[in-house]
Amino acid sequence: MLNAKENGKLEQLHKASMEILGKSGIKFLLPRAVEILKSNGIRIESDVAYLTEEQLLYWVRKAPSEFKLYAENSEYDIVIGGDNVEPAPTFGAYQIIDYAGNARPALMEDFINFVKLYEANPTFKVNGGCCVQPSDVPAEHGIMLMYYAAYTHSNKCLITNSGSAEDLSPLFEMAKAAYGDDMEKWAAYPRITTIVNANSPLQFDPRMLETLITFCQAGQPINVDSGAMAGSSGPVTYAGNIALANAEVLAGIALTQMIRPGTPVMYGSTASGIDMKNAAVAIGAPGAAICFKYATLLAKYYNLPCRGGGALSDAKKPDLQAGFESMMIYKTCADNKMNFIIHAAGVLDGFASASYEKLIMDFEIIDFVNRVNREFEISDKTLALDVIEEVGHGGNYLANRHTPKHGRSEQFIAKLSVRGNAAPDQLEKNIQKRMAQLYAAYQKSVRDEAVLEKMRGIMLANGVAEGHIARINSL
Amino acid sequence: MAINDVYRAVLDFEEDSIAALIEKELAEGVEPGQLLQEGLIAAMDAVGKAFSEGEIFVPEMLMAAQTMKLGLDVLNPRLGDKDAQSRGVIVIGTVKGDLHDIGKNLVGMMLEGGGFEVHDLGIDVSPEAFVEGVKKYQPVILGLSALLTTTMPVMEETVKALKAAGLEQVKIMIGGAPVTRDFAEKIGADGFSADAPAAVELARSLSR
Repeated sequence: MLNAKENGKLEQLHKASMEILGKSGIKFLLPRAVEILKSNGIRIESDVAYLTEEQLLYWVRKAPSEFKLYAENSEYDIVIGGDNVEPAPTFGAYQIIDYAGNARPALMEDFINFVKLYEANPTFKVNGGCCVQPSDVPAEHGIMLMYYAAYTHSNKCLITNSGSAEDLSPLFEMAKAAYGDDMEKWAAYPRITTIVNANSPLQFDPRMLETLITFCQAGQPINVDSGAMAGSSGPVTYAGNIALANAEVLAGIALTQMIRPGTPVMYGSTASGIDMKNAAVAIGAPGAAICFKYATLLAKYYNLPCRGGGALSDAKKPDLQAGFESMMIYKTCADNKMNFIIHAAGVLDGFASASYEKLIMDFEIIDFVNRVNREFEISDKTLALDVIEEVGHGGNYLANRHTPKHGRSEQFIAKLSVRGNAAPDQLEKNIQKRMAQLYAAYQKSVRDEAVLEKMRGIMLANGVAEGHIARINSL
Repeated sequence: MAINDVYRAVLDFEEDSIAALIEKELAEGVEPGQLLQEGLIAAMDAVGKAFSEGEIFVPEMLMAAQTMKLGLDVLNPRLGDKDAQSRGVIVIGTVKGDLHDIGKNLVGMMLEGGGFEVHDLGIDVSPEAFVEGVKKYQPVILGLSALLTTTMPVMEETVKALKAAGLEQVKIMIGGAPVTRDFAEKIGADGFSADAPAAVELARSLSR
């Protein structure tokens, strides 16, 4: 619930954002986007759009407050909005860092391993995207190959990469092979989602705008996101940084509704800050947590679903820093009902790297936070007054039947945390054990061979080497 | 196999039905010794193993031990001398100045589950009282428990008191949160265990 102070703050931030939109405007670096804005009566000077508060709110209010994303297996369909919190894979890390801190380029095998680990974790209902950026496939074919790898290895809701219209065309052909050509049906049952980032400050680049237009035309949800970093791509003061990010995101959302009113869209934020000492991005910092908190408050103020956060860290290996930063950011987001949490597990090094061990640690963080936020039930059974009387003074509850009966459901059963009698390296052993259990639990999806054949045909026709496809099939 | 029902009853914590199950088996002519070894003790061995592997938890292990104890109460009067003698006697207690007994009770229950005859002297037990207890019950093993670093020295006093009383033949095992293997060696105890299932293993090896 908002307190009065926050309510007042949101009004102030909103007014500031409106002033930014009216005075500075937002630059849309794609003529097609500018045309759409212009045809809807938005004042344009060169490629900068100036939206009035009335215009902005008129369009933003057309966006649904929540929507459903559909998975291959309907058990994993999710609602994005309201108080629902859905963790989703990390996105874009190009390196893998091992337990000791050694870095190497990420590979397609890592991508598929990550997909398998997210798939085997029942807490996740979302998979795919660019959970790591494989260096062993050509960049221009990455969008198709990562979608194919995710589609063949996951039954959950799928994120895809963003890209130019040209990049996305074969991706949508592949998705149509799976879900049909009926675009009305597509819009009614959204299947894929992706990220559209503002290029802060105050602009959207052509590639992102092409992603925005392509997804909106297909009725597929996107999250419009600002990654304004307080002190570099945004003002160093949080008020200014959040107002700037808010203006960028709202302008992007207005455009989505001009393209297809009612298109589901998420209010996104990866706004954070920089480390004042060296100007490096600081995604695991308290400032990032503040930005995420206000992203959720503002999204809810505009009645929009929100995306942001993650188990974020700037640590160079899965170490103590990785632990405390990740818990702070994830918990802040979950506590504030961030609806869709990309980067919920596996990322570190300021988005540049991913780690298997941290992925497993973040799974535990998410389960911890979920347990805390589930709180506890009050009933005769849980108050246990009869048991308190029975055990009496100085007795113990360990040997009372009430304890084993409710122990597993009431108390969180940690998979990683080391307690009691254990050796100092037990945590690492627990991480490896949990990872092995997830790999063992993973089951590869059964897919219609005719659909896969079509997808492969589309990739081959677009220049993808057969070897890359075969490699994915073999993993 | 009918003994399997007794075995399952321990694993499923069927406190309410274990006694009747054993009565039924006895009435059908199953040997009490066989019910003890292949039913109750075998089940507790499985429980200890499952605990060590992290599959079952302390409160569940305790429930199994309690169930086993209820079964044992029925079986005890029917056991022949041979079976009764094969169960080593163990005396346990929390040392003087220490009122903590959850861990000690847990170990006691697991030892009973492991087939030992356990006499618990309780908490705040002085070295003299331990000497008396050993004289009275003639145990193979004496188990000392302490949770506080401040009461750990009493363990050493107890070991000395037993020697002074000429009771060196009793093996001494110690345990408790601050207790270590090094400490056990230092004070002349025969063994240390970090948890209850390991205490059963230790007691078996000490009583051989």
